[in-house]
Amino acid sequence: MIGEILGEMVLRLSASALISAGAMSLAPEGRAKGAVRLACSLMCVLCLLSPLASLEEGETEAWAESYRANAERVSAEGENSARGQTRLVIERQSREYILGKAKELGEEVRVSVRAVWQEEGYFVPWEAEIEGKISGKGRLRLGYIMENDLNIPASRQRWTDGEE
Amino acid sequence: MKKCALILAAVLLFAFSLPSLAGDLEEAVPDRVRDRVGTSSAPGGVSEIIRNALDDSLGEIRQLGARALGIFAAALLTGTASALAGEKGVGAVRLCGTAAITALSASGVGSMLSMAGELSEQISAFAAVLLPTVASACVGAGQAASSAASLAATTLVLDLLADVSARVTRPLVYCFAAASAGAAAFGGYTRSLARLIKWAAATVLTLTAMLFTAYLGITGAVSGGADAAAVKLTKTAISGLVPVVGKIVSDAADSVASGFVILRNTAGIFGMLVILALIAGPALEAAAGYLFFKAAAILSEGVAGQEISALIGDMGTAMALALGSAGLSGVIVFISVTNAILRVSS
Repeated sequence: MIGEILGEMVLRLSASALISAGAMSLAPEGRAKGAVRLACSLMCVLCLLSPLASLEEGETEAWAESYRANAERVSAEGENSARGQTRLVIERQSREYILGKAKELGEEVRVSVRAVWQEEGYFVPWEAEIEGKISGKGRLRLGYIMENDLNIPASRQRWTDGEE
Repeated sequence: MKKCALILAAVLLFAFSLPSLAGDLEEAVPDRVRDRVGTSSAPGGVSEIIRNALDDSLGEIRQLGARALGIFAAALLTGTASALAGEKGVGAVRLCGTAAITALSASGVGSMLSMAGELSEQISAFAAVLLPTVASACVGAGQAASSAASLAATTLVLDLLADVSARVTRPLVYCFAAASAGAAAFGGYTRSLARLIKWAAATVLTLTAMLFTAYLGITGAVSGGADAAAVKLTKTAISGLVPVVGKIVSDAADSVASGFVILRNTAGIFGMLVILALIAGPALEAAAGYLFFKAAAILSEGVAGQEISALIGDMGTAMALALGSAGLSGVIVFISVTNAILRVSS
C-alpha cells in the first residue's frame, strides 16, 4: 500500500518536473518566468501530496494491525511450544522423583505423571499412576510422599498391580 | 550439576522439535547460497562466505571495470571531439557524448536493478521463515512481549521495503539516470531534479534504518520490562509451592528457557550467515561499480568537462541506489536478529 503511494508520488513528481522543465525553457525572461516558476513549484507540491488523498480513513491502522495480529499468532505458537516442553520436563522430573523414592523403599514400580496448567502461569504435577506389585507399607509410604512432596493427593493417585 | 543435567534433558527434548525447525530454516535458504552457509548445525565461517562471494562476483566486477573503461574512453572521445568541433558544434558533440555514456551505463544500472529485485525477493522469503522461528524461540526464553513487538515491526518494515523496491526503486533510479543525462545534455533544471531524487532516496533509506533501530530500542526497553515483570510474577507464585514440587517446576521453567535461548541463538546466527551470504555478492558488485564509475568520473573531468564527469558519477550513484532498498532489507533482518540474540533473558 505504502509502496503504491510512493510509486505514484515518484511518477507524478517526475512527470511534473519534465513538464516544468519544458515550460521553464519556453517561458520568456522577466516577470512571466517568475510566474511560470511559481506555477511549476505549486504543481510539483500538488503532485507530491495528491497520492496521500487516496488513503482511506483507518486504512493505515488496519494495515499495521494485521502485522500485530500475525506477531501475536507467532507469539501464541511459541508460548504453546514452550508450555509443551515445560510440561514434559515437569512430568519427567516428577516421575523420576517418585521412582527414586520407590527404589529407596525397595519397591519396583512403573510410574507415569500428568501435569496440568495452573492459572498462576505454570504447570504442576496433577495426577500419578503407579503400576506394579507393591507392599501395603510401601504403598502407604509412597502415597504419603507424593501427597506431601509433589502435592498429588490420594484422590489423584491411581494404583494398579500391573496385571490385566 | 543437577541444573546442568536438567538443561541437558531440556536440550534433548528440544532435539525432537529442532529437526523440523532446522529443516524449515534450511529449506528456506535460497539455492544461490545453499552451499556457502553449511547447515544450521554446522554453519560456515564469515570469512569463507565473503571469499566465496568475491570469487563468484569476480567476473561481474571485471565486466563493470571494463564498462567503466569504455565510459572513460567515450568521455575522452567527447572531450577531443568538443575541442575539434569549435564553438558551434560543442552542443551537438556533448549531446552525442551524453547519449553514448548513458547507453553504456544503462545496462549496468539495469542489471543492478534486476539483481536488487531478486535479492529483495530472496531476503523476504527467507526472513518469512527465519523471523517467526527466532521470535518463537524468544517467547520460549521468556521474552514474549518484546519478541512480538520486534517481529511485528520487522515484518512491517521488510514488506514496506520489498514493496518500495518493486514499485519505487526502479522508476526512481531510471528518473535519476534520465535527469542526470538531461542535466549533462541541457543543464539547468534537471540537475536540481537529479539532486533532489538522490537526496530523497538516501534520506528515506537512512531515516528508515534510523527509525527502525530507534523503535526496536524503545520497544525493547518497554516490553523487556513487561517480560521481566511477568517472569518475576510467575517465580513469586512458584516460590509459594511445596519445596520439592516448587523446585521441580522452577528448574523445569529455567531449563526450558535455556533450551529456547540455545535454539534462538543457533537459528539467529545461521540466519545472519544466510543473509550475509545473500548480500555479500551484490554489495561487492555495487561497491566495485560505484568506485569504478567514480574513478572514471574523476579522470573524465579534466578531458570532457564537469557535465560529462557529473553524469558518469551519477551513473555510479544510480547503481548504488538500485541496490539501496534491497540491501537495507538485509540490514533490517540483521539488526532485528542481533537485537533478539543480545536481548538478555529474564
